[in-house]
Amino acid sequence: MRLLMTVSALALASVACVAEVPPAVDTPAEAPVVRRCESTVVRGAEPIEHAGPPVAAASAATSADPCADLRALDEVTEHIDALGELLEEVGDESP
Amino acid sequence: MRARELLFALTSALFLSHATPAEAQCLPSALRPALRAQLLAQLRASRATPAELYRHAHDRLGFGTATHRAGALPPTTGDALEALADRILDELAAADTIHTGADNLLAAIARTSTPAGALDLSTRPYHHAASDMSGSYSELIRYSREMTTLRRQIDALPPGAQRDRLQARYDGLRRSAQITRSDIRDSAVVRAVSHAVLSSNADVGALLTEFWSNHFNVDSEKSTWASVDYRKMIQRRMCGRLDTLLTAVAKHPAMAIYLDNFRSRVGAINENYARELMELHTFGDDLYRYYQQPDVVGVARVLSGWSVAFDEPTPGVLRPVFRFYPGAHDNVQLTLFGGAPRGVPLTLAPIAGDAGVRRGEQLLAYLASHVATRRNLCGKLSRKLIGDAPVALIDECASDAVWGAGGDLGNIYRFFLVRPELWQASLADDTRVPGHRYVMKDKTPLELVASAYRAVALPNTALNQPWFVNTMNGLRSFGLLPGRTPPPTGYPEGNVWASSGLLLTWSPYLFARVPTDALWFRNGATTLRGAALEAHFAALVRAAPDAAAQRALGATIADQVVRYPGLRLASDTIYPALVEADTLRADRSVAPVRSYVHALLAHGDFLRK
Repeated sequence: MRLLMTVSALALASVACVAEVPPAVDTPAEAPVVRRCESTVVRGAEPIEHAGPPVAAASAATSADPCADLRALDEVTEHIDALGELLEEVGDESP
Repeated sequence: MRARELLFALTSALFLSHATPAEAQCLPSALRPALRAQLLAQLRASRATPAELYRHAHDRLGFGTATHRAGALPPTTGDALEALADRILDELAAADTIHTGADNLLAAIARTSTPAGALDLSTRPYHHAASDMSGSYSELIRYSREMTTLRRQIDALPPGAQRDRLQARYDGLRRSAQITRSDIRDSAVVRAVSHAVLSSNADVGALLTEFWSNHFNVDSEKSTWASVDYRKMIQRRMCGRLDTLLTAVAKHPAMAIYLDNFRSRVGAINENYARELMELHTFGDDLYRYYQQPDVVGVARVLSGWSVAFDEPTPGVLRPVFRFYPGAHDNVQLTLFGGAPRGVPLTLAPIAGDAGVRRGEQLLAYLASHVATRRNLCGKLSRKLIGDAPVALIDECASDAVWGAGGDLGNIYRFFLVRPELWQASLADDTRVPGHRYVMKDKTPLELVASAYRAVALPNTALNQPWFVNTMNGLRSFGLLPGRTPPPTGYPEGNVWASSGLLLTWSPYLFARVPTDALWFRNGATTLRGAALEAHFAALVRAAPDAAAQRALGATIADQVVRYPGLRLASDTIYPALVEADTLRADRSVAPVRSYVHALLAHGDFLRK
């Protein structure tokens, strides 16, 4: 079941973008960063058709919307983590 | 202090103004004549014999003497030192050339058993030795898709024969995925070992590739699919500038995954890579002299948004690549390092959009030219090549004249190559091993394994045999794990087997599965192998009636039969080993030639270099 949840999570990462991030030019170094893109990752809800990488997001030109970048990075991160968990789940082959 | 800061800032600015380096070689042809003259002068100034110089060159600039490869011994005609100098320079000139022979050989190994229900994917050991990151990744994704689809179908079925059939199919897929995962990971290990075993004599390219791969260590257990061709990326860039190599490493998915920088983003900074970047890869500073904890966070912020993407250049071919995500980058003005006791401040202004990646590149350029980085890497290279790191040598290596602004790696290698400390035997006598006239250092486990197989002239085709595959797999239990060392420090320079009690068992293990036919020695113009070799040894034993004759026999074997010059003390142990081997020959419990090999290679003279 854990394996199923792992592979299911590959395509279930989603980011709800609720507002744009203002340009950070001249922001003082120690100023708190205000994030207005809320990331919501749903894991293990339903099986998926296939477990592929977020190719479209990766190959697209950079969006002017910072939330699109965060969403794409969330998807990539989830994908890499899920693939790592899958490999851990299938285990090691002893020669 | 003020003048030093200004000089450093000026140097960094000059470097940053030409951030696109030209193609670089470790030895450009225009520099060869002058370097040859310097190298030859050092060789001629040495008090060592030509045979000793050959072995020394093979040990320090490669993985030991391969007795069956060109240039193993001084030539009988012509100038032996000129021949050695030319060979060393040839190898240096080709240092960044990728040798594909070992990859192809390993990829040709046929697996003996194929699991039922497997896809027609990688079911052979070390199939991925010739693979690249795109191939390994695409293969694992294919398993992932197949297994997910199958799982859905299974869950939708009621218990019964059809469900059982699909479950069996699923189990087979899972087993194949397991094999593939293990093979991808093990390929990184065996690639390192086989390249060391198969490399040429004085193959400085193989040595430097291993050095940098260990310096920028990644663990193939964690980075799995991303680490399979990581070494090749390093080799292609190790003759250029350090800033270029450092940037390529920082952007490689293997490092991004290994130290988690791929997930670092504004508001959720991951510090792992930033910390090791300064503590290990550049400054080498674990005392917080050049940076402080706030700088670790700051560096991580500069490198936030540096991650991975999955491109699809042609349908069905997935290619992991570096991608900078501007929207995930913490794009604020930062002043770094100013709070450290010896820190030189670096201020990075915000840069909007894709160009924001330049902030990280500026940071890496700063680190590559920093005095602490220079001293750290000059020290590591000195300990690798010379065996010691005298302060004066480090100072000169770290100077602008040698290091250059961004770390001219080819120039640094050339600097070490003609140092008297490397060649002049009179500079250091090591009393622990009488007779040695160089600074001796312990071989690393990888150097021991590689040099042992090279000393007995293991043929290339041995890598295509099941016993080699099994032996390599078994080396896990000996802790020999280039490419599979978990901590970011990599493995230590030195023989960790000496302290772990494995020193007495590595040689018997290494040769336990080697057929005697795979071992061959020359006796003059005659090549001896297998039964003929054993008979030859038996005759030698009977022909040595007294102690003097026995010592002479040992010396003859060490210097001529196995053609491993300089193995002086082995002459005392060879005859007893031959007697023991002759006794064991009667019951065939141990192949005599193996007994001989154990005695020779377990000797302290061979364990050091």
